[in-house]
Amino acid sequence: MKQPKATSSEISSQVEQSKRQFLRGLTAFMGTAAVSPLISGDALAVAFSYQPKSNSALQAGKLFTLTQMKILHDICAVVLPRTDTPSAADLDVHGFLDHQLSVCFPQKDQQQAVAIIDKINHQSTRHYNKSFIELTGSNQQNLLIGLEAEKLGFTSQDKHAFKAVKSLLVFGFFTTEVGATQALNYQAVPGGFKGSVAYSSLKKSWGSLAYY
Amino acid sequence: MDQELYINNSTEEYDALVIGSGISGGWAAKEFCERGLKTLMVERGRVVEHRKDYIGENKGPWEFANRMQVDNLLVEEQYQVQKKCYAFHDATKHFFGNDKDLPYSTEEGTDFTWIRANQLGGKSLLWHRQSYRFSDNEFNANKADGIGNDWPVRYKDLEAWYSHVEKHAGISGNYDNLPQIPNSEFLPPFEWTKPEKDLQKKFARLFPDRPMIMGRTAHLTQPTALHISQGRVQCQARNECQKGCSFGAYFSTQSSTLPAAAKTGNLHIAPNSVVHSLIYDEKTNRVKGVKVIDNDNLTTREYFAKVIFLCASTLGSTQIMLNSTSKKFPNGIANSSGVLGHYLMDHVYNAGASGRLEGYENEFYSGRRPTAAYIPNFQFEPSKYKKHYKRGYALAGSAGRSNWQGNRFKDGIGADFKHQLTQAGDWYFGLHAQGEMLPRFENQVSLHESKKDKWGIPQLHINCQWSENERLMMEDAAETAKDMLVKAGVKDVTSYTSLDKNAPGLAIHEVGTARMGRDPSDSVLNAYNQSHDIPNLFVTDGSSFCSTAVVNPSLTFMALTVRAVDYAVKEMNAKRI
Repeated sequence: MKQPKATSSEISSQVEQSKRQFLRGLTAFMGTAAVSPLISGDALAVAFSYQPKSNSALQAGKLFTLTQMKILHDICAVVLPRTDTPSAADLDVHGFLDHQLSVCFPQKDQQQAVAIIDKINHQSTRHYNKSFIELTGSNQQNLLIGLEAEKLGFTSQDKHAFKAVKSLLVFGFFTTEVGATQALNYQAVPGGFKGSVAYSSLKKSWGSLAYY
Repeated sequence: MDQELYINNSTEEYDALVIGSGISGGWAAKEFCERGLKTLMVERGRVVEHRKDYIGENKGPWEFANRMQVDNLLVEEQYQVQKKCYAFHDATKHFFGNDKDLPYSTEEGTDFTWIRANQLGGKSLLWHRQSYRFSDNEFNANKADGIGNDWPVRYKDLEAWYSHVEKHAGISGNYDNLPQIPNSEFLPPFEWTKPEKDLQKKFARLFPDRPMIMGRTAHLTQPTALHISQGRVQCQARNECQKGCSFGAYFSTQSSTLPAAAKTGNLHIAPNSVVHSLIYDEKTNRVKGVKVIDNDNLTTREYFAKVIFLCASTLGSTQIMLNSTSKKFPNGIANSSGVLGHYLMDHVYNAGASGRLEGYENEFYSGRRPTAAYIPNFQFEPSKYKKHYKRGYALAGSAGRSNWQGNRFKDGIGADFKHQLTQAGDWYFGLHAQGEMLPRFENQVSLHESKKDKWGIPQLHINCQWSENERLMMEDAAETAKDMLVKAGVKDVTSYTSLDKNAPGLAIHEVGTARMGRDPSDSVLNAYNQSHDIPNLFVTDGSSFCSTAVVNPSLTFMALTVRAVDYAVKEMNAKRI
């Protein structure tokens, strides 16, 4: 298995650096004692947040069956594949999708997501005589490109359903620590607003966004 | 928690009692305390301590249970109304009220979105921080076109008080010298992006009556010694303000007025104290204190003072007054005029246009600017009105590059798509309207005949609707914004109106319902926010407004409040209160 370029310790060091900037700003005028509760408080939220697992595709989820989880895993790997950063599947975005859909979305959206995963598998069998997870990576990609083009037996309604899953998949990827801080530039504490900087000096967009 | 500062039971007669701890309440308490008056601030919600209780601050989205989205069941059960606010998410939800505990009803066929922030600091923690002085065009509007009653104050009455609050709060902006929005005491403005600078020049040439300025905002772009003494430092441009800001870089009760008030040693705070009603003494015609129900255990207690300031938010203050009945005031205290509860208003935010900008591929920005571009109202007097409706609107917007948040909806599968999502995309620019809502007697809040909340207080019943004037204004604003963008060379311009989708309330600029006025027969308060009927009762929050004006209201809440305190203390010293 190809290793992504950034190791997890490198990633956490970038985030730590960002947090240190925040704390430096505070300790400068508050003193360390007053600041320490700010960091210790984080631990609780982390404990309850969705933690990526390595085995999400090996078991049924809250919403998806085992088969569907395997398909979802491969969709994640194909939509946002491994490049100089990990793939969406490497970051367990399929596990995130199962969690997020079941916790934050209405039943109608959940059912629509389940149905389009089944339909993708069904059309795979019809066109390639193989289930989706048995296809080569490039045929998986071709099938999904066909879906977005409303070809290979997919309707505009299917495309709409797939886009809903895909947009959440992208959200899931860029809100992971790796997605926000490695695939993008992360600024927890920008230190002020500069109206004009050369994009060529940055080469990628910001991962720290004001989430309204 | 500071045991000296917070109290529960007290038989003491305070000099001043301030109900509410938001923008108005914080200022009232600070001003009383600094004048040497023993002051009790009564807050219905829990204590939120600066820094310590900003539990959503300084975390990446991956550190939240649902990446900052809010659990479905929780929203369903507790936040059906609050979820409509743009700033409601997992990192801020603890600063919003729980709708299940805070029910209200609306007249059949109408709707009103009531956003709540019942904790120490109130909505000062959640506000959008845009800060503009009212000009005489605003104070004169009702008189000039005959809709609503005349404001009993003019700009000269408030000018010095605006300066007073601005120096303490810290307002960033540019000295634009425009008649419709007087200059404030400014800290330096935030920077423009390059495309915004170019658009500013184009608008100046094409629409000389519609200058585009940098939005004025209560952020410390360059803190003064006074700000540093409050424990505040420079804005870091995170633009995540509603999570709370440990830098104290935006004005809030916690960052600014509370530390100043506490420093005097004259401040006490009674948290978790839901005011049921005011205690009125008919013999002396004075309010003596408040009847309070404990937020948690529902026991009752009373607090007493020589003067009472209602700063409990527009609808909060009016609810308390309506629920304070006596033989003399059977329809709500200080309501001899009968207008208490009437003339509810909000801003109308329901139109705009946006489009794509060509070029600027190597232009980018760093940090997240907590303000935007602003085109002040250009229909600020009757001679400038459009023929088919009255008054005007401002336009606000900004330029930015698209990112994965928007581009994830595009077609694409694979490495190229992934790469594209990591890149800054096209530049976009939009203009969105913030218009005036006319004062109308029919837009009213009253106490529900039978329904009560868990504290046994009658629920508010709200009957509020947009009028034809707001509809026509928003249609015009959408067309005007589109026309401006098209003429300035913006591509793929689309416009919208959303009046049918959004009920009043969502601008969270609800004002009116206990309005000021010169005539005691058609207003509740005089020019000093003092009750016409009861000399030691003042109401200084948004309920005192005679019109919405076009600009944001909070800076004027501050100025009216400090002026009222100054007046009240003088009246107390002269033994008239």
